[in-house]
Amino acid sequence: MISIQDLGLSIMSDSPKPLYVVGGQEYGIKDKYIKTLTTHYGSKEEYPSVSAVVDFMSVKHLVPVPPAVYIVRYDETFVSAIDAKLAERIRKLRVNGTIFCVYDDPKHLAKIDKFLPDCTATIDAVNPKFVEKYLHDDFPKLDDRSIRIATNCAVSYGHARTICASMQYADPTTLANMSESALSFLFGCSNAAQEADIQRAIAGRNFNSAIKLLESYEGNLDNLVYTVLQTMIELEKCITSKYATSSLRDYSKFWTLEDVYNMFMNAYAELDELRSNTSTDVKSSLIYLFGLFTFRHVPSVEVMSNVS
Amino acid sequence: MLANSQKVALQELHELASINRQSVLIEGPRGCGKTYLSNQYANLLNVQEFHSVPPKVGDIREALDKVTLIDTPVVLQIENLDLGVAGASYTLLKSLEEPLPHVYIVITCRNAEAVPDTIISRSAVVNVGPPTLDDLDRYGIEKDRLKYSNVSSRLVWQCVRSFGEADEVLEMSPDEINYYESLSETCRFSDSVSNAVWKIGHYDSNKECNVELAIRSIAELMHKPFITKCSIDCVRDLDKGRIAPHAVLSKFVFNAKYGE
Repeated sequence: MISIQDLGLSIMSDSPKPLYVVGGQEYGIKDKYIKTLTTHYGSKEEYPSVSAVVDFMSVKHLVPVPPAVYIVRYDETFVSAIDAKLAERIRKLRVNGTIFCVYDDPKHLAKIDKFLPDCTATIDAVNPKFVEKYLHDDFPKLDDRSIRIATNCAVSYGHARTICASMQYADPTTLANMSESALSFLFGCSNAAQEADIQRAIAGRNFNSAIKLLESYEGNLDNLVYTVLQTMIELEKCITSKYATSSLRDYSKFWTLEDVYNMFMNAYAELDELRSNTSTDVKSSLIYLFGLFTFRHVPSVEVMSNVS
Repeated sequence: MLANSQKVALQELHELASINRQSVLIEGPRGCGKTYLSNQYANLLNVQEFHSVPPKVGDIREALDKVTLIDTPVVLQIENLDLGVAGASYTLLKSLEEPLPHVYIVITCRNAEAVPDTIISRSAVVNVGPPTLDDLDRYGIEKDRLKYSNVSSRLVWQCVRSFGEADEVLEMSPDEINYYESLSETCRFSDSVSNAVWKIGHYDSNKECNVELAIRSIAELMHKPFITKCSIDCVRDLDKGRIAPHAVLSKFVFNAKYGE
């Protein structure tokens, strides 16, 4: 199986391969690659099965077939039919263009990968950094803030692209006047917006603000323990790398690496306690955790376990 | 194939089946073959109907309601009850106290201490140990001799501790197998925690890897007592199954980088 990077490089090169079999849940990237290939060849055609394309290509045509991308979606007959003989036939086939087979379930790819490993790829999770990069390319008029909101609210690149497309059609002034929380709420991501606010309150070591936000938080409180862990990971990134981009960069001056480490370990210990003991109250655990960053130096787990 | 670790447990199940015991609790670590043994119990009872139920209140209630509508013998396997909420255990109590004559309940768990005493007192408890390295080798040979011969000398196979992981490794592509050996590059932890977690947690194809195997591989590659201690700590957390694997991996990287 080829990696997502190699797949992208191959598709965007001047000579794409005659066949790609792409699986995974990230429909946005698949769609992006289909568009790239369509632009490259100038036309696209949908076929019901790979065998239909192979049969079409095997026949001699009086008028030469123009180059195109041949899209085949969810062809299960190809999965059951593929063997060494068919793979060899496909390899020898002179395709004027590219056959692009799309699947969702990676299980379908396992068998195809056995016979055609150099043109099979799966795209499931895309690093948010890449999602942001792709969105910047797709929507050059949108600012960094809008792209970041779309990335945070979306579950995939395809979803993020839909959010960006709708923001592109909105009035830029109205968009600029809306807060990050309001925009996240608009795109059905109210908890994420509140979590972003809580994340900033934690990063800013602002106990009062964190408690106020905790009181008004509508989502599952369990998630907030993960938010504390995530905040510490982000802060560590900002402290150790001056080139790292993060919305929490401005807050990193309030933290030392030792504090970040101790806070992460305390939050992890609380999470473990919450998962082990059903009588532990999540809200009390969060208030305890928020209390820790009010100390000048965040106490270590060992110190806190001796205290309790 | 029957592993050495499962032989004693199967013998106990055989005895329980001979007295038609209707509630059994099988305790053992992840990937030791609890589901396999539950299936074997159904075979020993000569019961064709076997259903696996996740440890959720709604699912257990639904399964118990459905079996009242049929009168053919059925084995219900309640998977990893210790991972469910307390309500899941209490939903089962009545059925264990007054079982329907055609219903057999096999509960599996990783840690019997996390299962309420009321469940344990109403069930026959059978313990299964983790598979031995010999068990895993024999399992690999039987499952896919060719693939086993390719992976048996590789680092990732040496890190396998359960049948589930053995299955996963036998399905891995050559790139994925190589990936665990290439972790020595990431082991320097020169990156930020978030980058290291991303790199360790994903294959080059961006597909998520097995965090437990990755942590064990790093411990093997680094040969440092402190890293080994961190890895044991994190693998134990993963085995409990209560915390998301990537949170455990973050803890491992944080500890490896700053904990010493």
